[in-house]
Amino acid sequence: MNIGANQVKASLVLIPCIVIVVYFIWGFAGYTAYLSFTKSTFLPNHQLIGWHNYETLLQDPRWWVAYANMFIFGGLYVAACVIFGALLAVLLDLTTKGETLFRTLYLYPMSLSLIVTGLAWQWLLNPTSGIQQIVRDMGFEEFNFNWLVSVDYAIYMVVFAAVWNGTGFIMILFLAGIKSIDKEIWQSARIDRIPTWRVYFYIILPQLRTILLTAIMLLGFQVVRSFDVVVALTNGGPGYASDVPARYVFEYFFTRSKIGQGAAAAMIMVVTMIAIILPYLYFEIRRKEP
Amino acid sequence: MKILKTNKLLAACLLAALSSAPIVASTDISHNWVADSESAAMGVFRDKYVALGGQWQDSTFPDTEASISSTKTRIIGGKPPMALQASLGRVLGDFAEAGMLQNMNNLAANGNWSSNISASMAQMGQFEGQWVAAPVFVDVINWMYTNNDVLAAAGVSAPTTWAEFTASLAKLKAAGKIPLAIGGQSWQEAILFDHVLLSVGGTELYDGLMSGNPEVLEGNQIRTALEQFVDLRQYTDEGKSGRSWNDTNTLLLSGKAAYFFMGPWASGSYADLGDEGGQWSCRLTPWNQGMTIVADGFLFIKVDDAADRKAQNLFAQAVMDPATQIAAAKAKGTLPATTSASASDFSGCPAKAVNAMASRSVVTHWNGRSSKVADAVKDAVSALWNGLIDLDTAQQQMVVALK
Repeated sequence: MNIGANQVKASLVLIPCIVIVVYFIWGFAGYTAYLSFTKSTFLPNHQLIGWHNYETLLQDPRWWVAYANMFIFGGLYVAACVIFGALLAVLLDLTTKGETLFRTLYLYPMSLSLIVTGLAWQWLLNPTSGIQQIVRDMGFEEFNFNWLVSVDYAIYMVVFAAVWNGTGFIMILFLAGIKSIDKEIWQSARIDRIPTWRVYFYIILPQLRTILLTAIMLLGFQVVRSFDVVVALTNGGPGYASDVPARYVFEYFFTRSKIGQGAAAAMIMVVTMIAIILPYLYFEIRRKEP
Repeated sequence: MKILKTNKLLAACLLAALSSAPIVASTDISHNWVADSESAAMGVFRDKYVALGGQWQDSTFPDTEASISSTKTRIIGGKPPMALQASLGRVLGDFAEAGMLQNMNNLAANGNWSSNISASMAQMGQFEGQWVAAPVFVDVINWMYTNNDVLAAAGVSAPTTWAEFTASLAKLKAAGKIPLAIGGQSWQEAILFDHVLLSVGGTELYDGLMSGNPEVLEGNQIRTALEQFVDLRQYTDEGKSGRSWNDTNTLLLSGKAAYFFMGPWASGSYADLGDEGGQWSCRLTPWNQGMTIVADGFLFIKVDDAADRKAQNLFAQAVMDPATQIAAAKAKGTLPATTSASASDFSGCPAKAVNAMASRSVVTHWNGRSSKVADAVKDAVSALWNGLIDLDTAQQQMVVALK
């Protein structure tokens, strides 16, 4: 094979970039994997102890709560963002006046960081200072809205705040998709007298499959790294009822002096992610082959 | 090479001894004394250090975890602070086991550290018999703060026994007040549990649990303590989840809550309500002979540079000076580690603690013990309090984690 001079130059230029990526991503990931098999507590320690950290981790009820919460949070967050995002996009597309205004309004929450979102909703949802108290002060003494401090429901409030933050972005993705669809479809649909809502749900949205996949991928990353919204909203509480794996790892690494166990938890997060993403990649690659 | 190093050290020492200019060290003190009373206490140590010839440099953090992480990172990065302010106990154990602390035996022997402070305090400054830290304050943790106006408004007279205290809760609740202020962090919940535990079995039960005595751990007294602890939950407010201790403190200050169990660091904020005994009071509860204490002080981090070592020694001298400790303790509103303090040096809550110290039996608080103990207690207590596990599981969890 004959490699041109340009190609050599390009490869040379890329080498530092590749080295940095390999070292800072795969190198560190590999080091974390290694640490998960060591006796590391307060500091990294290189004495290997086999699967001990994983055994301790899997016996920790707290880890299972955090792990289960990732799926509750992930499932509801992705589903709600996609459904509400798509609905809002359709409604905006139908709006003739003030589309820009509404688009800005709906997208606005996204300009807030998740930590601010969490704090703001923490004030609003706190039963003694927020919505519950306001409604009670208006005279409805029996009004109850205390999900944020409930062991069973706190995680759903985390979902709620995250959906509030993320829906606008998904809406924009769908809106862009809808706008890019050939206008002739609308004309032929009108000739056939198909109701507008059916055009959207049976013709337009099914064509936005790639947008849907993009949205799910982007939201999926948010789920795995969900940390700030939980810290600001509940800090994992009450107790550890709304803990998530990322927060668990952080706590075991930095405040509990159990680096080995934290690394083991991080590895389980990675393995879980791979288990979810691999089938998807496989499916996508297979589909593109002729 | 070794001779060269020794010569260098000698030269540096000579130079330092001859010149009157302050020691210019490249290192500093890492701490989280940022509240008014705390920074006043640090000011006392700073003045002494400067008077001895040191040059003041510090790094401040909003909380102890941040200060500890920064110190850890700086040690790994090769630019450590010379001292880290922290509760002596779990933090000291972690750093000492990692070989990060400086042996201060020579300075301790020259400065009579062992005779200046009590034996139990001296124990807290050492790791395996070596001096690695300076205990400067004794924090008595088991305080109960009351808002006396709230008590009076509900027609409750100030309790003098644990039974009177628990009996008054229902009355306060009926009067529309929050009887018991508590936040939502596991360490706050564990502090409340301390009081219940002491009320059930005194320091003997407390120490038995914390030191992992199997008979105590599986015994009925622990079960009783856990039951009574969960029972207090009905007298707290809904907003406690996730609340910090200072926000919780505000409930008492603003007259919304009656009782608050918290360490001595809370007392500084009550100055707004006037003197102790008027609108507010502090008491050592649960009124029996037990007291939980933890030493606060400075860990000496290993530094190699001669000027840094010199500065570190000066700082150690400054903070272990009895008169300086007393002055700093007054500023902070807590007790000095030195035994030369008397009750007449203090007023308000610290005076009560000095008096009690002479007559009561003292037990090391969980925060002054290893990470393993502190985490085990906080985890079990918090999970039970928040209804994530039941009584049996909570006790079982403690047995497994502490034995």
